[in-house]
Parts: sequence; structure tokens; C-alpha cells
Amino acid sequence: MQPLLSVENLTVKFHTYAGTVQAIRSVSFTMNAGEILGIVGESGCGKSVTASSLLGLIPTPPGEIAAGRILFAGEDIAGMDEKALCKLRGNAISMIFQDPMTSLNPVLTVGRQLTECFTTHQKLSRAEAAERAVAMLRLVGIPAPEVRLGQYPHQLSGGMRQRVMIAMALAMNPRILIADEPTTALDVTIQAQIIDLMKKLNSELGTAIILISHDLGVVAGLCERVLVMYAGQVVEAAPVAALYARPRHPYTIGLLDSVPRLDAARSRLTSIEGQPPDLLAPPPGCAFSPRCRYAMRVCEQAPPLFPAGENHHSRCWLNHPACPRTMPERAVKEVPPA
Amino acid sequence: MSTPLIEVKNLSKFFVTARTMLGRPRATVKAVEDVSFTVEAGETLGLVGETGCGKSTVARTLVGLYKPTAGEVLFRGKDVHAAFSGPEGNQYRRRIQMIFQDPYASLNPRMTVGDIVGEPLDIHGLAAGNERRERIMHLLGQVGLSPEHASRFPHEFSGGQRQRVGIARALAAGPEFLVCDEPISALDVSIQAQVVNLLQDLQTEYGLTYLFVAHDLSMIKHISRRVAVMYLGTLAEVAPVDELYANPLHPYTQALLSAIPIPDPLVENGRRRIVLHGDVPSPLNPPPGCKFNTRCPRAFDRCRCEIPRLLAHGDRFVACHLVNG
Repeated sequence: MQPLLSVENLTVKFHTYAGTVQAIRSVSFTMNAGEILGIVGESGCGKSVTASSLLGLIPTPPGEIAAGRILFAGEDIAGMDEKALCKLRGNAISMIFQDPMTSLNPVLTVGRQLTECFTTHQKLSRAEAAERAVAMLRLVGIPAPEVRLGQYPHQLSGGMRQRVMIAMALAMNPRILIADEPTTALDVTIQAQIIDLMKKLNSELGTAIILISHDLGVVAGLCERVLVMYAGQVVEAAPVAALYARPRHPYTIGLLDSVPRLDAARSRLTSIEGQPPDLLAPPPGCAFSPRCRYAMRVCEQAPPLFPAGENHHSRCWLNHPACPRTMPERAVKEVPPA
Repeated sequence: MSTPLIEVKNLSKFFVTARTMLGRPRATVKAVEDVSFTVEAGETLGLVGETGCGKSTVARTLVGLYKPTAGEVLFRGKDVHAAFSGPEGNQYRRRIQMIFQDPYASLNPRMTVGDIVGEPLDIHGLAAGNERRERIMHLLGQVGLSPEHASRFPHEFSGGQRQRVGIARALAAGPEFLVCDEPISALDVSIQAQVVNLLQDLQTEYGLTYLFVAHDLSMIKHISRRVAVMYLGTLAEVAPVDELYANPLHPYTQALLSAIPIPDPLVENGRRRIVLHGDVPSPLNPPPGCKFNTRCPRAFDRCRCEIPRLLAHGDRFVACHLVNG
């Protein structure tokens, strides 16, 4: 089966006064229709830049897609002109941003912003568009949608605004929904509502979702496959169960060990010492090696992605068949049946 | 039981957001209403709740950044707000220090790190000259920074390092009680663990008492001995940490705990979630009766008219008609 989206060796650079920031360094992945893919990583690892480039939203200049292709339904998004991108955005691929307050226009009503896609993409009349907008708001679980259409974003709560964002993103029934930290600005009880909603929409409408998050818990509950990014590279890619049960990269292990779990006994947290590297001058070898407990001399050379199980890849020399050392096994908690 | 280090009695803090032409209050946000709890010496009390529930207001009132509208805060039995304005005010300020949420906004960008950490020493007259310099170096070492960092400015540091500077500054005055207002929520996951471990090490070394404010319940469970849960300006439940997490009594605590994602797909897929409907009501116009009644799956008539009191059940406290009867 041909994948819905395939990103090949994508490299994005930003030219700044301080030098060239290598935000993404040769990222490749594929995504199937209807799949929920998670991208996790810390601030500055390139997860948001990856998402923005899928919609041609990299500001150029200073940004630049230096190499690589983004194939969506056989067409290369990276090479599209603005006109073609406009047809794509909000139509075939759409995006939910992290902060619903700053990504909604404060001086336009919710209705005006929500009907925009119907009037531009489908050339519907205003009355028809308003009808569709009400239906969309109802789909995302907003009570009294007719009233909300006439209101401004400041009159809605954070969770409500994020629902409006999701309604806007889903309005044209896109093939892919990119959610860039959709719940980071929200409280946990509201986060639970939004995650439930995204799950429901994925199973009912078949929309593929790319979830970008730093929260390993949210990713565990929603995604089927996960990419872990570090310093602009994919360091591990695996099905969600395998990633959490048997991580094959020291960075992933470190991330999982550094968060306390609600359902586990207290023990001292294992932190990853040091700081992520400066992407103005990323280290020549493995970017994680300066912080890695298992670093070896070979880590001065950049590791390729090694196969590390079924559908599982890791950018770490420990997975090399000739490596004398083995990957530490995580102590996996026995799970009582719920 | 001995006197607790901190005793908060019926604390309320209201903010007037609009006034009539005659200067009378027209709209009042009841940020904190009738909150009482104690903090024992050497323990960590976790304070959790969602945005706008008043947890930061409690924290800021404890250190004297706000004057309470009603109620009092006792430090070793003495009213701190009366003491703050008296001749011994600085003695109390010195013993109650704060670590702020945003490590970018809480450090003066024009001061060197050495001067930031040294400022409490100057204000309280704790050290001068060579001794002051040595103390600063020692404090920087304590939080995992090196001596050469003293001459640098905050913008040269990462978020985690800045938070370490904030911790060093709080320690400089030699406090007994540290109020940590979401000290890690602005940091990356791998850096959060570094800062939490540091705070725990310092607690052991200096016998510090913490009020740890956060919205991350997993982290609260990790660091606290007892936990207080706030909702819309009032306390819903206060309990020892293991009891609270094993058997939450208040319906809000139950929903809150079930909403937290666990980083393990096997566990996540098997969990049953209590999803609360609707949003938190505005503190400008809170519902009558129990503040949680608009979203509570188990609310009944009494909840809509009578405010539940925080009553003791052994060593835990709950404000819910269902539990209190």
C-alpha cells in the first residue's frame, strides 16, 4: 500500500545573524491513511518545524527547506508554489496550534472564522456555510453552537477555543490533521476531553493525525506509532507498545525514566544530565552522546538508523550487530488487568 | 502534636476588578475563599489544582506578596502579615522565601547572576566583602552551577540553569520555609527531573519545608508527603499522599486523577476515565453551594445550596457532602 504521506530526507535550515541553525537534519518517515502518529521531543528538537514544513509554513527567509521531499498523494509539498499550498492547507492537510488564544483572530467572530473555509474552498453561500459551521461545532461537542457563532474568541474558555480550532481544522474533512501540542495550554480535565474528542474523530471520520507533544503520557494514550526526535533528527521510531516496553535508544530511556508515574512507587528520578546541543553547531557524531551514559568511542561518528525490532528503528550504535555492549533493559512494571 | 511550622487559618483573598463611580467594589474575584491548612516542619505539602483555582494566590499570600482579605497565616504560631509590617518584618521575610514559576521573568536581566544571588545577603545584612563572595560561590555550587557563572547575565543561561539561579537566590537568605510556585512547569521533561532532584537534595541537607505548587499530579505525588487539592478558590481535599492517590474521596480529586495520562500504552488503554463535562465556572460569579456542583457527576440538591465544610476523617480532610454526610 502506498503511504498517505512520505517525508524523505527533509532538511530545514534557518539563516540567522548568529549563523545557520540546522533545525531539521534529514528527517524521513511515512504515514498511512487513518493512522495516529506521535512525534515527541523536547523544546527545540525540531518537532514543530517538521509539522510546519508539511504545510509549507516555514517562513522563507530566514527559513529554507535545504533538501528533501514531502510527498503527499504523489505530489511534493516542498516544491509547491503559494497558490497550490493554499489549496492544500485547511483542505487536505490542516493544523491545530498549541495556543488557541493567539491562533484565533480576536477581532473576528467565531462564526466568521469558521465559515471562511467553506466560502473559500467550497464557494458556499453564507447561509449554507453558517449551517455547516453549526454542524461542525456540534461535532466537537460545543453546547449551544448557534450562540457561539456570534461570539468572539475572548468570550470562550481555553478548552472551548481549542474545540473551535479543531472544528476549523476538520471543516473540510482533511486527510491529515496535524496537532501541534494541542493540549499543552489546557488543564488535565480539559485535556482528557480533547484527547477523547480526537480519538473519536479519528475512528469516525478516518482522519490521520500527527500528534506533536512533549507529554509521554498523552502520546501513550492516543498514538499508534511514535517518532522520538532529538537535535533535529529522528532518533527512534517504533510502534507505541514497543517504544514504551522496550525502548532502543538511551535518550528515549532517559525521557521515560525522568517522568514520575502516577501508578508507580516513588523512587529518585533519573535525570538526563546536561543540555541539548546548540543547533548552530551540532556535534559531528551522535548528537546525544555528550549526555549519554553509554557513550562509546564510535559515537563520535554519526550513527545511521539501525533496525531494532519489528517496524522499530533506532539511531544508536548499541543496536549495531557487532556492538559488544547491549542496550540496558528497562524494568517494566507488571500491569494488573484493569 | 507540636505546633506546625505554618498554619493557614480561614484565608481569603479577593481582588476587586471593577469599581463604581463612588469607588465601591462592583465586581470581585474571590480568588481564595476560606482556606485552612497546616504545613509541618520538614515536610513537603503539594498544592494542586487547575488554572485559576487560586493556588498561586495562596502561595503569594503566604510569602507576603499579597495581603489577605480575611484570615491569617501563622509562622510558628505568629501572624506573619502583622509581623511583616512590624520591626521584625525582615526576620520573617528571610525565613519564608519563594521560587517562581517563570525563570525568564523572575530574574532581573540587567543584574549578573552573582548580584542576583547576593541581593538577599545585602538586604538582610548577612554577609559583605569577601564573605559575601564566598557565600555566593558556595550557593552556586550547591545548585550545580560553577563559580565562573557569577559574572554572567541571565540571558546566557538555559531555562533549567535559570531556575537553579532562582533556587540559589531563595536559599541565600537562609530560609526555613520555601514556597515553590510551579518551579518546573516551564522546563523540559529531562530538565524537570534535574531540578526536582536538586530540590529534594537541598531539603535533606538543610531540613527545609516546602509548599510545592503544581498542576502536574504525577510530580506532586513524587515530591510531596501530603497533598492539598484546590478547586475554584476552595480546598476540596487534603490528605497524605499515598492515601489520596490510592483512594481519593472527593469526586473532583477522583476525576483529576483519572484524567492524568500515564506514559505506558498498556496501562492507558485499559483505564477508565471520568471525563468531566463543561468548564470551570468563572471565579467572578461562582455557583452557590459546593463550587464543584456544576461539573460533579454525583451532585445532588444539597450541593447546590449548602457550602460543604472541610471536615477531618482521620488524618485527611474532605469538603464534600457525600463524604461528610
